Amino acid sequence: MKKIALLTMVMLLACVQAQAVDISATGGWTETIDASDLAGGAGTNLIDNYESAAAATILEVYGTGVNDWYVDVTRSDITWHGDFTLYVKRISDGTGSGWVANGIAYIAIETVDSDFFNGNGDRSNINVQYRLTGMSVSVPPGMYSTTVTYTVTE
Amino acid sequence: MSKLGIISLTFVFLLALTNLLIAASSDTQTVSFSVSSIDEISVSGDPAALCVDTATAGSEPDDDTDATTTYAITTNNTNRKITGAIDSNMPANVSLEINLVAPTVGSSAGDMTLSTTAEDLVTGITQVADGSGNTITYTLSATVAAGIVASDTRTVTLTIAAGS
Repeated sequence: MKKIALLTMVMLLACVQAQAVDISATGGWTETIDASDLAGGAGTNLIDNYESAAAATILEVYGTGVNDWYVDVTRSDITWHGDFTLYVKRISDGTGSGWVANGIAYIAIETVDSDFFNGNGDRSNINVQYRLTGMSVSVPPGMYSTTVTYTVTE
Repeated sequence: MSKLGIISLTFVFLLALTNLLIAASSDTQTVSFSVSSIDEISVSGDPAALCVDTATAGSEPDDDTDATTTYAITTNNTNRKITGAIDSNMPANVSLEINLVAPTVGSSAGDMTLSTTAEDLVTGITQVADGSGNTITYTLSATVAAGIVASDTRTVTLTIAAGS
């Protein structure tokens, strides 16, 4: 009897674990830099910084438990330029139960995890915006890409 | 239940609980930038009309020069050059020369005679944005063999091209 009770408890825990917190990210940002981005035509440099649409990425945090959750952000470069700095900020609280906090000012996305924002309960439609700085004529023509990873921990 | 069984179940219980407490999940997005090739050049305007109308007795007519115009350049490429050409050749015994001061990066070829064939005016230009007003000097010259030449115009085209 005791064995059955213990096994049932373990199975229940396993089921609860299967419903652990998760995050989804949809959208992205693609920008083309050309001669129209020169600050003032021939003889001037490229505009240094660029900003994405307000809801370039939409995040959803779901399967949450009773504890607060935390979202970290990092990047993994595919082809990148050393002069670039990529920033991200949260521009909406989203909807759903619970709450979200922090992340409303731009933070640099580094190649190691950085704290982004935190909250509690399931939240959807959390909009985030990107900004890139460091563009100039010193950046050779080509395609530059990086993968931004959002990780939620509860 | 044996002691081993209790210990095993406790371990599984704690492991599951720990996993529950540090549950984590990730998703990714891609951010991409395409930087196009940029080769832009502009001039400040047209030079004044050039006229060969004086001479020292016993010598060929005096040249006429104009250095009132400038150019600006931006390129994000390496090893670029500026070439120059006119839309139709000059009359016989009349020549039009051009001299471009090099931007902060590059070397000027000095005085170059313009024709319908593009000539290299500045070479070795790499990733520069120079709008400081690099001077363009035009020199019109004619020998007495040219005789009297009616007023005419030429369009000078400056082009940024890949260096050889």
